[in-house]
Amino acid sequence: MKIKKCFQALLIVVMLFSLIVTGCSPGETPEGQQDTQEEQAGVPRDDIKNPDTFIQATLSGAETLDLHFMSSAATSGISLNVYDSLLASKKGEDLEPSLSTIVPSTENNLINVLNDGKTTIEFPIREGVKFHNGEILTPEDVKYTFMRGIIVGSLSNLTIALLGEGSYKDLVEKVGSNEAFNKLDSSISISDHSIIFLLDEPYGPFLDLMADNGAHFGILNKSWCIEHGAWSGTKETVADFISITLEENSLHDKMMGTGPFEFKTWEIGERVILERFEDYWQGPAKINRAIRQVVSDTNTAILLLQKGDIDFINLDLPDLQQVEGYEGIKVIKEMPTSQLIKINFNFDIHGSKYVGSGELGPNGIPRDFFSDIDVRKAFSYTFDYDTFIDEVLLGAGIKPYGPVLVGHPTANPDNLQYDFDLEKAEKHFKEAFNGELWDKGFKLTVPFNEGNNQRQRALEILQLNLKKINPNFQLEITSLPWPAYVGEINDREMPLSQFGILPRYEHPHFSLAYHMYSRGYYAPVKGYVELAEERYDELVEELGRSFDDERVKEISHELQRRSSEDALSIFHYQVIGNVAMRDWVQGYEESPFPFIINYHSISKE
Amino acid sequence: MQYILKRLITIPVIMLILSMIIFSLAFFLSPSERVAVFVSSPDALQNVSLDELINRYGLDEPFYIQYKNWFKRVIKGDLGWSTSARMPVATALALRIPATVELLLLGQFIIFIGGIFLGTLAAIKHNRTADYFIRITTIFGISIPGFILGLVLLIIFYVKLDIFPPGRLSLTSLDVVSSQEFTTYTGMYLIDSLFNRRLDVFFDSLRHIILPSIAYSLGSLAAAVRLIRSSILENLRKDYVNTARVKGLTEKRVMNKHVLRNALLPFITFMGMEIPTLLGGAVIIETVFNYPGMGTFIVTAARGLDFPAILGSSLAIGVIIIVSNLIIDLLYAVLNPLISLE
Repeated sequence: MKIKKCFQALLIVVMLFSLIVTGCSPGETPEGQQDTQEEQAGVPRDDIKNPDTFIQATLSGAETLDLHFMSSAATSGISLNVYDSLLASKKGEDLEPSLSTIVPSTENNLINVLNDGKTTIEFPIREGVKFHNGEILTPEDVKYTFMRGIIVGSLSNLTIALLGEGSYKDLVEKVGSNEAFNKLDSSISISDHSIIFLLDEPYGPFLDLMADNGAHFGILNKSWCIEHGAWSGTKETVADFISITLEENSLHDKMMGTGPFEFKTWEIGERVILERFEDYWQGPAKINRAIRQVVSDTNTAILLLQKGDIDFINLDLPDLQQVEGYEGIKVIKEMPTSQLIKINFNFDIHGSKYVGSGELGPNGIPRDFFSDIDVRKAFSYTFDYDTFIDEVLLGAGIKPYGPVLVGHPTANPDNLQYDFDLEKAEKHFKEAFNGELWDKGFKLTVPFNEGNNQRQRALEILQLNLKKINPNFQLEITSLPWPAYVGEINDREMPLSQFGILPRYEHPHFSLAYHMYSRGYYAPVKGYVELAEERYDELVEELGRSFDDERVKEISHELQRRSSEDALSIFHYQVIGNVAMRDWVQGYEESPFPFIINYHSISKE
Repeated sequence: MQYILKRLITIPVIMLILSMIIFSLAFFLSPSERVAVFVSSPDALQNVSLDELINRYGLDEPFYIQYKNWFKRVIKGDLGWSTSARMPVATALALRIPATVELLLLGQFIIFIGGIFLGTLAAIKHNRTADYFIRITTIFGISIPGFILGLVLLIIFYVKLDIFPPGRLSLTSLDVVSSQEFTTYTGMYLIDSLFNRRLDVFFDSLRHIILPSIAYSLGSLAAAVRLIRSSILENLRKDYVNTARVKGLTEKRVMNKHVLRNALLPFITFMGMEIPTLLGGAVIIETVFNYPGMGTFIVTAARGLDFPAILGSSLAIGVIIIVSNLIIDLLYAVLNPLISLE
């Protein structure tokens, strides 16, 4: 009897509580009601939380604040708002002046191809532009920035264009430190209030490089950099800064630019706070403060958005269902992005974390496992592309033709592509390692960056299909935080990694050089430099030089074909982006990088 | 006092043994990872060969010599470079430990107060409605996984009722604590805010920490309630209780002065044993509540095979557990003078 009474009491309490809770719920509103809210957008609202602060939630924290060390889009979103480049670009529009007052061209005589093939490109520098510390921008700052970037091992495209080498370190090893410095110094000169680049040969995408809105090609304040322990700008001290590591870099946690926001604080792994720069040359931003807040749990991030404690998140399509139709939240989905994700084979694995015994067999793989073309082809046929796009991405992705993004002018829909075909995969596995692999089997461990469900599921698909082909084919999955994930890719430790090609412009040189050039990004970190030198470099270099659109297309198609023929990577999807934001957020500009926001245009009203 | 001194002296001994055990784990790793334990940042690995570094740091020496070298660095506060946190391990721990300790203390407080109150109430109302209600509720408390409880609490108390938000502080309070006027003493905002006489920060911090503390401690609280209840019931059947009653003491006095005091002894032991469990639970709770503590740091370090961070955080946890157990032992003596600490 007592038990019965107790249950009754409990039931009443639970029911009362549920009533209270549901009574307080803002709930979902019919579409009509949302329209009314939109109509009222011009009316000042008193329900806006933190009206002067824009808060963007991100899954991962920044790995560094130094724009010359940023290797992921997650951190470019900060530098883009703190720095300005010489030129600016907007989606679908022509390049615009920024810190340079004019966009150079052959017509305005700021681009000159000399008789010996050398090319000069001149950028008149805007006068009166202030850095966040009050100093005035000079051409010296511009020269220092690019020299510093090249010396520390960043800005590889610019390095190739100016020095003909993939890195300054390579040039030093080739010609000695004295000559290398002289070559670099003379390739960027100052005339009046202009900066002039001297290129060994024409480089088609040069202006596009300079128009990245400050993400990597932003301009640093020379005297501030020197004051904070960076390279002093002299030949004598350059040796200490050649290809330095992130941990050696004194600017790792500092920023000083001319952009619309100045850096305030970085609580590593938690948040970056930027504050409006009142003296910004294009006029101050509308919001006082922008915060990039790490929220590692997507469900928590969604709750924060629903309450208005954050203003913006980017979400995977399945998670989007939780916020679509929610009062006060607007959603933009299926935005085509310049983000191609691929599963990269590491031809020469460093370290021993992921290779087990280091020998072919049930306990490991050799370090050159993926240097066997049959292994790469077999893996490419093992991946179930359609299932991944349909069931993991829920249709919010497309299968690329190759390294040039779908939608870009030279992408080739007729390019050789790999489809899911376990029979073909089995055939190649049987041919790999002269038949040894099929009998001995293999075991490798592959990490994904934690919180990234899509990367995890892609590996699970591979894992499952490998088992189907041969039970002795074992792929174990583990996860890493984003900075460690990026670090281990750069250190060549992972047998397979999922990472992207994120071209900021449509010229195919960026994607193809990044993916295939021996001095680009992937060839060195994935161990196929020799293959690149033998099969791709000549064409990539010609692609960079050529201003003939037909030839550019022809070379682009040929390189795409070779990439597929050599099965360099599994091109499994091109991203379609989805973002959710509070309806009080105004001025969000769609771009190929939906999660990189130009805070200058943002307001809350 | 002598006992306390003795225990304090044993702490370094225990830490020494603990560090030896933890350090020996390093020998399961590859040489390059062992090198990383000995250097404060990976820079040293850039321009020299692994063999050179092995020689330089004596990695081919016997275990005890290697251990001595490593221990010397630890004594100096150099725990190595964390590749997952992108900063020295000591710095990462200094940033993260206060948040977790704050959570741990509040969690223990909830278990202590809630356990005694509800456990006593259930025992006094033995086999009556309140007792049944408490017992059934504790079953729920023990059964619900921490991450589900956390999410449910967030939905109810944050999304629906807007009382307790996630995170550690609101933006306004973050501005205060990062300003030059605010002095950081312990890194625990509840304490530091009081020292700085900032009640607004104190209440804001309390508002943020309450929910994770409840989610963090509810499982242990439920177990504590059941323990106290059964312990009180067991003591109520003992002869000394009858003697006290015969001597004319009131029921209230019998309960508070004699029964509860004795019933608390196993409870105190239980609380000491719960500390490692609570630290383990911090991982999930900190993720769900976006609470930047040590739990998330340890998990990311473990997933990234960031061995310097794993070693450093294991040592830090060791210290927390040893100190907590010392406090528990002292409480034991306070509660029962018959127990000689000597």
